[in-house]
Amino acid sequence: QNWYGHLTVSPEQVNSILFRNELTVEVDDSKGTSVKTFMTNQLGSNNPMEDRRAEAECILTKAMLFGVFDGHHGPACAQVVSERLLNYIAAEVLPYDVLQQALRMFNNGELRELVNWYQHPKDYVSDDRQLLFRHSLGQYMRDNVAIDFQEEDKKADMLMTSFDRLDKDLSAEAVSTSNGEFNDEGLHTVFSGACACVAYVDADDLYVANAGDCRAVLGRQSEGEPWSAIAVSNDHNAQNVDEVKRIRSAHRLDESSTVIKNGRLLSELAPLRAFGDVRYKWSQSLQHQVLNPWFGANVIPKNYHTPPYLIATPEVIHHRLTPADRFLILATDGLWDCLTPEKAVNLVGDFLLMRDKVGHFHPPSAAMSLEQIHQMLSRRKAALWPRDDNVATHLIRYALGGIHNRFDHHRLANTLSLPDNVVRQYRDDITVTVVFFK
Amino acid sequence: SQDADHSTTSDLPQRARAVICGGGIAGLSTAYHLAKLGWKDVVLLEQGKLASGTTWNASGILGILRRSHFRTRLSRMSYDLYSQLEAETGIQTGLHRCGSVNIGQTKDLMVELQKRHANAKAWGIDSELLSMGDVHRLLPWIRADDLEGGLLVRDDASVQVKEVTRALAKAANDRGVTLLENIEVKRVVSSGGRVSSVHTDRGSIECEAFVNCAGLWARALGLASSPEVRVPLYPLAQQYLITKPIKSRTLDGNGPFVRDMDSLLYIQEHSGGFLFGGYAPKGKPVFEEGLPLKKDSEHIHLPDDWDHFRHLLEGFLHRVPQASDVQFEKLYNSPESFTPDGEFIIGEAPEVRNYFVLAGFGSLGLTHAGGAGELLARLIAIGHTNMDYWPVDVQRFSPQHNSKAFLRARVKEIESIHYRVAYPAFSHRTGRKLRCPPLYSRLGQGGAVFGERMGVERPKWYMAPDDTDEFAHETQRGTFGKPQWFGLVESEYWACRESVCLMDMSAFTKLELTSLGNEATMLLQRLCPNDLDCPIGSVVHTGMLNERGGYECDCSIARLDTNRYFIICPTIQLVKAHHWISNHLPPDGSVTLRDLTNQYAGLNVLGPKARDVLQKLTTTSLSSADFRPFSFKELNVGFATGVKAMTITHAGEDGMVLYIPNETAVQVYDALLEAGKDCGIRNAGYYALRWLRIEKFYFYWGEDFDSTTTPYEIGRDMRVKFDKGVEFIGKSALLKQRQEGVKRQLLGFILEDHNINTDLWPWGREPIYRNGQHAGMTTCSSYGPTQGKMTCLGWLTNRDADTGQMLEVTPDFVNKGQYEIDIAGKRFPLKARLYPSQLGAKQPTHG
Repeated sequence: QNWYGHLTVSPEQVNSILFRNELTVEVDDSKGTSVKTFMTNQLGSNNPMEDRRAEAECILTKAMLFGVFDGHHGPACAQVVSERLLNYIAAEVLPYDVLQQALRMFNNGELRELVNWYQHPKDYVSDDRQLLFRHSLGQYMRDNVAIDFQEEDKKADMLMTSFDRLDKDLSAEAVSTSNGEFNDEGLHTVFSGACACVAYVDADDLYVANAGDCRAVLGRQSEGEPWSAIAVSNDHNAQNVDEVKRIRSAHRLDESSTVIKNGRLLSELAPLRAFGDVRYKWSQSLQHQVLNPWFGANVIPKNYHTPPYLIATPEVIHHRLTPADRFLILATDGLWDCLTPEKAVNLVGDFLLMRDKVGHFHPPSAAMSLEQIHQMLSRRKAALWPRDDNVATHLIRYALGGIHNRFDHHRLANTLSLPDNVVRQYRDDITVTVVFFK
Repeated sequence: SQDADHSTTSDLPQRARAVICGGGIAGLSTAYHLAKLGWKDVVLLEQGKLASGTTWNASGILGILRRSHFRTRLSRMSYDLYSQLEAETGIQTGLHRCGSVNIGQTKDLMVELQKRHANAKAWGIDSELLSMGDVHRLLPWIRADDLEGGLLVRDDASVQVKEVTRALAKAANDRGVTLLENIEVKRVVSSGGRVSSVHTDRGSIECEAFVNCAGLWARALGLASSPEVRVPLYPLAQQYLITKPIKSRTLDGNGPFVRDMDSLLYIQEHSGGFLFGGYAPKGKPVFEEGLPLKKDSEHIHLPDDWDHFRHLLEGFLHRVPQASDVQFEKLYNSPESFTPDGEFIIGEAPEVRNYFVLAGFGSLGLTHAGGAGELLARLIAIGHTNMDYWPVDVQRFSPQHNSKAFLRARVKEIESIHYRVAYPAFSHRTGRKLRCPPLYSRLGQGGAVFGERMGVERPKWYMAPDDTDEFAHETQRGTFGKPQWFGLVESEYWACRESVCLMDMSAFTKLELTSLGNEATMLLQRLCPNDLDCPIGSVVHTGMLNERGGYECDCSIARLDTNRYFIICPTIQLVKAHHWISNHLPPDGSVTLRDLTNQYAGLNVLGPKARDVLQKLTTTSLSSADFRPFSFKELNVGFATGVKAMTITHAGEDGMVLYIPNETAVQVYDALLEAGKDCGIRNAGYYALRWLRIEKFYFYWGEDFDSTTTPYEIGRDMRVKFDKGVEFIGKSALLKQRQEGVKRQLLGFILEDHNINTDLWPWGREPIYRNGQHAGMTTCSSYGPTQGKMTCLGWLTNRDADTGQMLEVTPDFVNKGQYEIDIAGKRFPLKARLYPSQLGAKQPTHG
């Protein structure tokens, strides 16, 4: 018997835990976007949870943005990135004339932000730092306007630029203190780190900008075909050969055995791209000057010779959406530790098939032949019947308590009742956002 | 209703002779037949419109050939009724002898179809076995290449359900029945144990008899009377689909309907397309939250459930490949009520006199209600029927069977029962452990594989304790031949014959009858043909007969004291025997009847060493001189006191049945196992008991004979005591029969030239032929290891080949015939025996 064998969590308690952070949004048809619905949910393992998520629509364009952020060394960086990155992207992608207009409105207070957020009631907002965030965003816009544009940049480059700019701003804000005092919040933000995976959906164009080990997978189904999982991001970790090659080639030859060791950057950090984490970015001297007084002398990693070792620049993958592309799953590695992309896509696919189970299945058209109806029914029979209305919850439930094609309450209950001090050894924070396309 | 041509006046009469609740086919048929029997003052109340419950939704299939002769007779009565209604009312009922084809995909189903064919031949029904090629020629539109064959039943029919009910209503109305719609029965009130009036939402009606034909609502209506009447049934969703017409071919609409029983599917031609439906492998109970009321004229239906229909669609598309492109017209879903055993419910409720029930047809209402209505009307008007209806009697259920949770669990399995291969000795999987005797867990530890009767779990046989559940499952696999459990039961049989065994008999019904004076004796003397004014301590095997001399119950009665009797009845008579006796209790309350069934465990200690083993645990002498066969003693056994011991074993072996107070049963059982260790004591199940009793021609009530059977017909002449000086019920009928001789006789038959390893076994319900002429049916059978032969019990009749008249069955007639049994189309010679072979203490030739 397990040491936690006596712990029992009822199915109702399991549900109340799983439902706590779920959010389902039917996107208004009038927005003219290709996104129909999105569903998101989070389940914490760390306390406080280090994952963040953000979803928003651009105010001045029809694009929509979805992000998942996996923090490490604390939630501070992920929190700030989740509050700001989408604004930065919105600012970067605006056409030059619109940007000028937006800046005017921003300056006279008509526009506070460049995106409308879809918020969960429990979402935390750093109220006391909004002024700073807005100031930095304004500066970014001004800088962009100041550049004399000859032609529009490629979207992919824009996304990379906005990531870099935010990371640069974070650093700058941490260093700048008005009176030499310890910049508590700024330093904590950059002392911690965050991977980010953001989907930018503009009409039929999908861009996924990924920095770190979150992952985006597209669920595709052509007529009569089984579901297929299309990767639209690459993990930036030591398993990624190209990524390892990139880092090794950016540093001295004699560092090749130390720059990535034991599958980690400088033996320490698993993701190879991230926001914050200035311990792998700043020069030794800057760290001595800014970090040592507050975080101690051992802050600088071993074998730290040619910084920066870490970048926040995302890898951007563009995908032109087709009618066969039915949904996009964005999730932090907590989910992917438990589910393969194929399984996740199949689960969402089944969910689509079964979601009308409450109102029960009815042949979509009276013109369907009996054989076609039979095929649909057979697929439904093979599917796992979801218990959740939110597909993100469905994925999390399966990730923690799924066995083959059913749920095991005891597995789920045991996973959810692990005490705080050991839970992290069994599972990571999980954040899932599923975006359904029209 | 709009097309009604009968009066539906809304004036509620103040009184009526009979009030029938429910205007479906069951209620209308009962009303019609009551009127036909001369009951003019009959009122039928319907909460909505006539035939709007589940009757309207019937697909119109009227299958004449059923598994049992009883139900075949009923469906033929229905057929005759529906055909006669056309002439009587002028309403065309669309009755059409379209025939049916049962197709078989598996060898086992073909065995069953061959058995049905053999029965059809015996019962005079036109049927024909088909090869795969025959099926293909007859039904070119179905896929036949995976079939083993089929059975064409030319007498099966179809009918327009709506027209039949319209005609029934008209005919009933013409004969004076008052049909009232939109009246809801709220409560049935009784006084003095009899129905006195019926309360409705429009006032109440006083009545002599009430008939609950409320279909889906019958159970709820039963609960709405005081005392509550148990009508155990529960609704399941039943679906069928109608396709659009098929363009590529022409259907004449007159072809036979098809039953693909392996796929639980039936298919009918319908308006140039098809109508198909069937049964779910696992039924879907509906209306958990309570039944809907039917106030409006809407038919009751459920939202379609395509997921639940998937397997039928799959089976249909497989069977009719050209239908894959066709579109559907509509999927119909309506509730049908099912009972715990799949048979409908008829008869007088044991709880309230003159409260009658007819419901629970489980989608076979059209087929059976015509005949069943006639049966019930006779029961109401005449007080009895000439047909035994025990298989469908409302009294066949225990009180536990009416539990909602049980019903929900059980009916899931029951839905498909009429389409599944009817393997012999079948046990339900769901709704088990309804009643567990005190030794249940002990016997389970001992390797018991349980079966269930009347909800009681009883061991069928025992596995070795180290055998797995998987093995138990394997031994229970259905077969028509030598069963997997053969070796296990055989070794139990020999242990019973040669040493000593313990058998749990707790399931038996146990009643106690007491009085202050001699009233109990007087009552039993009137109820029983045998002499119950016997010495204290004797056990009398007797029955209780009805006026026609038929067995209402079969029992062993121990006289415990001058005015105290202990009555042991078959398990299945838990309700029936109690009901029969309590209906005859003197009205002055001088005799007390108590049901002790659940207070005593029964343990049969049988075998030549039984007395030796028991003697170790008691100081009372158990020698056969001191404790003679057919006697009773109260013993102390081990730590237990007050153990009722009767020297009968129901198996014809030496030994005794102990009735042990529940709380001491485990101790006595353990003590017996310990005491009998040196004699090789072991457990035995009731299959071993069956082998023992069938070999010795011990007939069982409910299995071999029934309420229409007299003692003379089953060789129990010795148990009828005309000279005991008391007029017992049924005496005059028996005297008459003694004069005239019996027209049928229950006999033992020994099967010859039969290889138990390679031939199919007889299991009961096989036709018996005498000199090539159908002369009866077997009731049950078993293997007899001592003789190494199969023994069948069965009925023999003597029908004059020319006149069709039934003649006396004399010993001469029995002895001079050449007998054969038809087992699934193959005939085997039989030897008829009036008396069992003397098995004695002969040592077996068995290794």
